[in-house]
Amino acid sequence: MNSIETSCHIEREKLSPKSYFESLIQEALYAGLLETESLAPLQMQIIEILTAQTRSFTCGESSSVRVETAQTILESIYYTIGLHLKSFSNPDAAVFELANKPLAGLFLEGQKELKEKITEAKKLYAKVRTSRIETLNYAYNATLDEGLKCFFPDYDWEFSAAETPGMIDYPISGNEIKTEGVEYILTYLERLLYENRYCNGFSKEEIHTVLLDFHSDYPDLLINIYEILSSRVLSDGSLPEIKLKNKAIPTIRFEDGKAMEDKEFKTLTEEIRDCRTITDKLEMISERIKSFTDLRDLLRSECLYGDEFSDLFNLLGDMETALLYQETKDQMEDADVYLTENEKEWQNKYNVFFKNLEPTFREKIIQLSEKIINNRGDAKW
Amino acid sequence: MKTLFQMIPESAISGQAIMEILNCNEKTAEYHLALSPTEVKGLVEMRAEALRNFGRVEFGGGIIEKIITEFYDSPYISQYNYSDTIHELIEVFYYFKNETLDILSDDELLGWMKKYFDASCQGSLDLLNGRELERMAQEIRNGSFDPSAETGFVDTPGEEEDYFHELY
Repeated sequence: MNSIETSCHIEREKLSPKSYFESLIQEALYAGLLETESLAPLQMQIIEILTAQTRSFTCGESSSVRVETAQTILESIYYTIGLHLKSFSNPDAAVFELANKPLAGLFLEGQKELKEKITEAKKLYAKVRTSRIETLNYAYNATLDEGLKCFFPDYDWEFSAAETPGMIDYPISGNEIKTEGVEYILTYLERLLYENRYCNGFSKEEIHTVLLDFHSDYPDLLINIYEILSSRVLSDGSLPEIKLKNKAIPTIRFEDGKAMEDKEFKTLTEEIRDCRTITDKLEMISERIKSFTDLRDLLRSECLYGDEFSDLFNLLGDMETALLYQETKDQMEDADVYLTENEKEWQNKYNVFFKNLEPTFREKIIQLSEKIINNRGDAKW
Repeated sequence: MKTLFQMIPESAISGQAIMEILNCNEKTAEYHLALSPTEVKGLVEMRAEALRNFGRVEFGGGIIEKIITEFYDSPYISQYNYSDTIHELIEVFYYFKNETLDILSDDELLGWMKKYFDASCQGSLDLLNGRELERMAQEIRNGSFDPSAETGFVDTPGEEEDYFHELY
């Protein structure tokens, strides 16, 4: 337990994305980062969490549950703790956390991250729907309209976080997604959004012609539209009887700067709130905020009031303005339900700011936002 | 279950339960009742077997602790039959938890068990098991059980007595 050293002992590749927590303990034992004696206290803590979760599941009315129910709850606990442990920069750091902090605390952190991921998935789903392509392919439409939608009401993050409800039939391109629950949905949606944006470079007639050329029964087949289009473009660029309006879609890949540690960010927001004038606030923001993630978090941290938002928006460059535009334009119909009040406030302020922009600049921002592919792997939200 | 619980050996679950049940001795001392560590271990093992038989999982002292808390002040329980009675009540509890389709909460089921045990059964586990709870389970499944009635049964006077005489 106390033998954790600074160099990395565990290779991330050896850890199972599905059973991260269990495989981390296994590898930590092999690597000697955890001693066998330290397992018993961990087991006791797991039982305590399981007992509490089971009580919560039965609303305290039954001390026993069916075996299948207990399995699901236990998997959910492992998944939630694993989610938090995945957020560490390397597995050794995660083992250190595991060895030195109560599991109940890690579980609560995991639950917090889980909820944030659900919110993120809802936003991504909205973007996927906005960027959808017009096609006759049944699996694509059914997955987008119903299959993915029913994940959100059916996903039980408290007691069955490792399960992935929904009817996701449309096959996504690339490797098999090796995660479960909300992590699976996030990866699926991220890939689908990328694919949609790529396919948006083609007209619906072009897509139809290419798919028809691929197979006359394409509406009923489980195919990946993006793969068919891209392979056709890559092979020779020649498409049957049509001319592509875009052979290559111009995209800008946005790599975000390093976001601050939570503690550092909290200190900054407190300091900003203490500033007396907007000039001081803006000076502090422009000096210390170095990533888009932090900027977005700042907007919802009750640091700015009234006109101070537009003062900040006026300072931003084209890229940041376009990224904020991306954030606000793709809201789901039920955004009112899942957005926090702070989130709604900055988005409303941004919408007003955006409408008041000079029309040609506004158009420039819209075009820029359509080209940006946002790689926000370490985003906090 | 084994694959998922491979990180949690049964001894770890039992260990937690044994500690919780032994702590009950402080409370039951007022009625001169106590369980030895061997008796507690026996109860926990028996509970594990009952749970396996009924396809259920329980953590901590769970139902043993609840049964003790509910029954320790019964006039029909003494140190002489304490461990055996708790032993049988555990079996009876899980059997009727399933027979009542999980409709009753633990506390509700235990409440009725205690009520029948002290009143109409006068401490007889056979009557509790074979008469009152069997009837209660049947009425719950039929939807005719009335928790607001004194005995839960909406019956004709004398019916219960006839049944008693038939049995004995």
